[in-house]
Amino acid sequence: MTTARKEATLLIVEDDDIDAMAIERSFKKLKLDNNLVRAKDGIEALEIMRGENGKTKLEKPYLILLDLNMPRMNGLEFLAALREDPELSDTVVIVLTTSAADQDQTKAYDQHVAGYIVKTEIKDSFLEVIELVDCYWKIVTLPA
Amino acid sequence: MSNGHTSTQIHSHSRETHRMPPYFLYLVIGISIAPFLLSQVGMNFGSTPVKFDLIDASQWPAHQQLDAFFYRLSGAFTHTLLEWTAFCAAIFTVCLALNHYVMSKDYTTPVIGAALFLAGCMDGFHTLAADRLIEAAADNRNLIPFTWAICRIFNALILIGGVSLLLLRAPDQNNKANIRSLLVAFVFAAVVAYSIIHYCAVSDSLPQTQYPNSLITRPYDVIPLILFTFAGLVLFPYFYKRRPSVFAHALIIAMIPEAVVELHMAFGSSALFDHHFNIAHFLKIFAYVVPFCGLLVDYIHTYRAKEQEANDREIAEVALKRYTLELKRSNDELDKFAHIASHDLKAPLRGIDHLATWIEEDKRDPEALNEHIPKMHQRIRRMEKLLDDLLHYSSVGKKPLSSTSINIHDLGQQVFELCTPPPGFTLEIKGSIDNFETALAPFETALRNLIGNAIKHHDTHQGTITLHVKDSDNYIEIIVEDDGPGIAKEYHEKVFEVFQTLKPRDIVEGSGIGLALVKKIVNSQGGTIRVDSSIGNGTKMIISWLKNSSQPVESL
Repeated sequence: MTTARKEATLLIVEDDDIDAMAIERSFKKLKLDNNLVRAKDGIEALEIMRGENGKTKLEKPYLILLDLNMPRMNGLEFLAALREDPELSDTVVIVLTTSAADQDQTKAYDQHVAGYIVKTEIKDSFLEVIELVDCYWKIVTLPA
Repeated sequence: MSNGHTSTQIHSHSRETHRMPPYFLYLVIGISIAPFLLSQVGMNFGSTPVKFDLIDASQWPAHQQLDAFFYRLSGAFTHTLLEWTAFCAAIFTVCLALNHYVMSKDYTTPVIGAALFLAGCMDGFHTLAADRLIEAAADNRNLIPFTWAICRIFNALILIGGVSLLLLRAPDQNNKANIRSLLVAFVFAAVVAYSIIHYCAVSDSLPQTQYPNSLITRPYDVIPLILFTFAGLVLFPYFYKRRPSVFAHALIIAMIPEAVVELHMAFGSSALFDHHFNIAHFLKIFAYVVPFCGLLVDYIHTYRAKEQEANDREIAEVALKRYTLELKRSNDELDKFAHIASHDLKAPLRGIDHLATWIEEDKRDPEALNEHIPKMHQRIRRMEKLLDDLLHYSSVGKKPLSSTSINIHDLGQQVFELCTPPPGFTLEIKGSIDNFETALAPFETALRNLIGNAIKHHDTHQGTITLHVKDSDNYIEIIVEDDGPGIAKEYHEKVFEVFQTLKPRDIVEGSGIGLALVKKIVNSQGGTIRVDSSIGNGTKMIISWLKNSSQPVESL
């Protein structure tokens, strides 16, 4: 299990630089040495996961922290594309968004996300979220 | 005060619809007094039978005898035709009355209809007996005038009885009870009518009815005269007041010919088939036709009202459906808008919150602070821009604007310079159109956003923006074309949505409202916008701008 934790990568799909930086800072604060990869929208994330468009393919295991509101391809569209791709459909995704709307939440859970976290409901610059991620991959075996 | 005024207006209006047209009244009066006037100038409407000697006739051939009999009986034939026409008019009135009742459920019509029916039947009997088609004991000199008078009295009484019945007995809520009491009254009246007929037919000594040398030549006709006058002046107007309807109004009018009929009979007719006798019989037809016309007009009114009602309901339903759809669409849009707005407005706020925390955490690290503070300013400016653009967006189409004459060449150049393009950018204007009238502010905003976008999203330092203009009937077609990176087909819809950007705001600063704003402006003045673009081939934004539109189109 510890191996899984060490190997696991966190893929952040987030268009906002500050939010991405906040996650990175939390990572540093918790002294986690896991690999961090960032995509700015759904399309870039898919490219990274599939190794398309000149990007190096991200090797499993990984966990995705997904924002919903993004340019080009938003989080829900990304989830739909993900679940349709036989190779990527088993990916564990945690949604991290500013949207507290019920319909977003329902749609996200319809796509089998592992959790739905509303950004404004968490303090301390995502520290809790990253702690959760750390606990999660300490205990859960991610799909390889 | 105003309330009282309105109520009188409504009342007078409803009275108006429950009346026969005025010219109908004049027509009835005219026809009723016309025979009298014509007789004053010497016209004679009496039948003059050609008499012949029966002894001579026994030598004639059969056909000549028959002809002679016909000529001899001309008065009787005239009488029969007139009576039978009246009888038919009565029957038609009854049919229409029942038909009307089925449609309007107004009890007046079947009650009066039934009364007229019985009166008509009496008239029918009177005619058949006079023509000896029914066996009768008394001779025609007495039978015709006596049965006529009896029929007239019966006619007047049954009309008065019917109306009184309607006045005394308010229609029950129970439909069956109404019909039952109506039937009882009808059967009773029918029995009375038949009894009278029977008496007249079997009695061989009917009382004398004609007094040719008196002022009142037929005293029996004075009774119906009084009855009809009473009905026309007192009872029926009272009934009309209580239960206004076109039919009730026509019933009052019908009393005019009825009374005139009796005047001719009571004071004029001194012999069978004479001048006044024929006039009275002619006018009696008319007395039946007037209620018939009343029913027709009432029928038309009822039918129109129902049609109007159905029409109104249909219109209301269509409007309701449209409003419901519109409301749903507008609700959905509002929902979506609020959802997006809250989300996108929160983002810079959250950024500021993060940055504030980091400034606090990194206060001993000047290098980090130098990074955080400009970012914080950037977020604040972004927030401000979002709010400004949002306000601008929501105010599109809210107020009417005055038109100005627009020279697209001058304006295009002006807008292009306002966008402060980098040195490598040029504007070309292709096509030529006359100056046109439109509201300047929205048109300029749309143009500025499109040209601004073409410059802002260009991927190189050089670019040509081409403005194609074309006049097509009511519209002006404007194409803003650039030689930038182009937009992939899948985003052609998305680019027009509020807050939608194709690049993260940290890369290209923008509220994501620009094209949504342009679309809203163009749509609100009745035009359309679409995009024609693909990756690597530049972008064409194609606007159809409605000419001469200063008023915003009601966004329904």
